[in-house]
Amino acid sequence: MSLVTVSKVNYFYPDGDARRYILKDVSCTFERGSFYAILGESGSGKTTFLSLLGALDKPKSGKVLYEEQDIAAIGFESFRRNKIGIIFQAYNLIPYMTAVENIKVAMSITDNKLPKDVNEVAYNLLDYIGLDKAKADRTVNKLSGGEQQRVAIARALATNVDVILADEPTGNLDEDMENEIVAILGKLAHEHNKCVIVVTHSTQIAKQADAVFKLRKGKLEAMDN
Amino acid sequence: MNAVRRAMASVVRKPGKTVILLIIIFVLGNIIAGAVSVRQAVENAEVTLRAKMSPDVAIGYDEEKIETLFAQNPTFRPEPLSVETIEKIGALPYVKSFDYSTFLSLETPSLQRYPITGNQASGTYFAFTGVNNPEIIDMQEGMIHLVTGRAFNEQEIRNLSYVALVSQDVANINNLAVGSVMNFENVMYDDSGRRVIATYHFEIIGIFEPIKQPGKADGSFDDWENKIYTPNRVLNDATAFWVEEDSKLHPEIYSDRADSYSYSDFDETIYNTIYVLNDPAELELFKEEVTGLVPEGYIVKTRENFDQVAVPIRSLQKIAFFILCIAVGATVLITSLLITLFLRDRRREMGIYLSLGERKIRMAGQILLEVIVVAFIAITLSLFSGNILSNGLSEKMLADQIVAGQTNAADLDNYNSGFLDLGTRGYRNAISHEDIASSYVVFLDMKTVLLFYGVGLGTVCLSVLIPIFYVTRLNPKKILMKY
Ligand SMILES: Nc1ncnc2c1ncn2[C@@H]1O[C@H](COP(=O)(O)OP(=O)(O)OP(=O)(O)O)[C@@H](O)[C@H]1O
Ligand SMILES: [Mg+2]
Repeated sequence: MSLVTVSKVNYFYPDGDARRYILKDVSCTFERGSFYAILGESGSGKTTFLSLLGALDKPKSGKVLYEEQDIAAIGFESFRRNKIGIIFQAYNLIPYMTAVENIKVAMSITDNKLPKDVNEVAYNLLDYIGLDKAKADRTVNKLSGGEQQRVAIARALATNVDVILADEPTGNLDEDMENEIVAILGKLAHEHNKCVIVVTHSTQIAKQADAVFKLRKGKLEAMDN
Repeated sequence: MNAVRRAMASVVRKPGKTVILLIIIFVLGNIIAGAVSVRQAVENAEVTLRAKMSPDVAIGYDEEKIETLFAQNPTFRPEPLSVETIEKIGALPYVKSFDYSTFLSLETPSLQRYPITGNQASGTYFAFTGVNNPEIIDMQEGMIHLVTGRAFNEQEIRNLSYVALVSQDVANINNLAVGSVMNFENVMYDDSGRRVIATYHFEIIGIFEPIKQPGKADGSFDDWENKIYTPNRVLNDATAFWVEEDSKLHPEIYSDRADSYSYSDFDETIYNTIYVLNDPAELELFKEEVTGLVPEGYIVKTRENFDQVAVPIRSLQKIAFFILCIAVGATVLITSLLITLFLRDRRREMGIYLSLGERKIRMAGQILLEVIVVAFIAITLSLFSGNILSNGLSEKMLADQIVAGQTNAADLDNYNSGFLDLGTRGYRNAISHEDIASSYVVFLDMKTVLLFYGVGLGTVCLSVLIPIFYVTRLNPKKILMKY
């Protein structure tokens, strides 16, 4: 049983009276313990595709299934709350909160069962991802881009979900930082048995992935790695 | 970091926005607080004024009604108020005590009037006040008190007993005491001049003294000192006898009557009624019941027409209500816009909550809480300042209203005299404009405070509706996936 199944998904943006198709009958599956990279040129529809996987938008037709269940049936809000974590290129942290508070926000929202000591879990997670206590207690707008993206990764992890989605997570980072972040994502898949799906145009990331897809002209094609 | 903690963090960590919101709500809150305390003060003033109203009322002619009825039918005359009706009204639960009197002046060959206001030291007549309630309602109501002797008994009221109570002053100048006998004459003037048709010998059973009413000048025209109380029957008998004699003398005046007057069945006495209510506040209930009992052309008359008395405070209330509506409207509009603007700044934050799958109801709760916390502080501050403001302002406004209502003052006086025409039962403590002004006090009672918090927080809750609607319409995809 696949963890995430995309089944005949179509998506278009209205373009005047016409429809501009971004995804045409896209089908694929994603498993636990694997690190996926989805490549594609700018404007090919990577972000659009990820927003469908992340239940931030719904397909015009077709389905996204989680453990064989339509995510529409699970409920988009509840799916986002309990099944997935999303990492954005722009980090999207709450600027006036500390790193640890940002993580606790996510932990307070999910319905998933979490360890009792939320504080300890949050600090440990940040430590694991490479942020010490001093940085954990800093408001996030006083952290570097790489540090902020680590907080975002920790936040995606904190709710104990199986699927981590990332949209261009290293887009704003330098090469060293990119390598570190990619290493962390790989570890999540391989050591923590998560299903990690990253959309990017970085071939660097693609090299580390277990499977690579390419999005072109509305089709998702598997690529040799 | 649940919604409550997030709300607190937002309030505390963005002091700039918090202070702006605080100031806006504080300023508008002052207006609301002012309006609410004026409203409350008016309400309190109404209660105070109602309590100040005399508890005694009368059944009298409804001149306006009679005029319209007369215009429709020139033969219309209000039926006399029967003793039966008077008694029925007296039995209503709102009535503490009541009486009905007939009045008659009798001449005396020997007694001196007590000189009031220094006008006429002498005179040969006295005005008698008829009594049906043996305990004398004026005595019960503290208009007079008994110096010596006693009031009437049932026997004397029912039978034709020539007994009377006179004032101490009249007793003094005429050397009268309990047990003395006074002679009065029933007199008729005709072509042959003055003719005494009957002489009555009244035994004094009690001596009374009028009680000075606070706020009333000495020598009021009511002439309490020269009042003499005697049972109604005595006066009715004298009147009937006079009418019978008169009808013999001038049959042409009485010719339109179907049956000629007979001394024994004379029953057209017009009584002045007086009802003392248990509670002046029950006046309206009393009025309602009386309407069903009296013949056409009668109404309950009070010493003060409350609706007229209350004109200045009521117009103040109207102004206050108007201000309140404007202030609430302005508050809803301004704070709605302000909060929406602030939330536009926080679109990304809201988008993050949405992408994390936060429930919309909790997000709404967070926004509401953020605003309520600030509003609560602002409203608490404005409660005190607004109260002080409205105190100064509304007293000035009330004074203006009273001046503006001078025409009403004239009406007020007319009304009082209208009542007094019905009887000579003295002037009570009518409500003055000073009473109106002094009954109006702006102060913070529990009700005002609760009302203000209710209105204030209710207004703020309304102001949050549009911002909440705005937030729930946000599309996290559009917000978060653009960079
Ligand atoms: N809200 C929208 N309305 C209309 N067209 C849109 C909208 N959002 C995106 N598009 C268009 O859809 C196409 C796919 O956009 P998308 O953001 O998914 O591309 P992408 O592969 O993520 O590109 P990049 O690599 O630059 O992030 C683009 O041509 C874009 O202009
Ligand atoms: Mg993109």
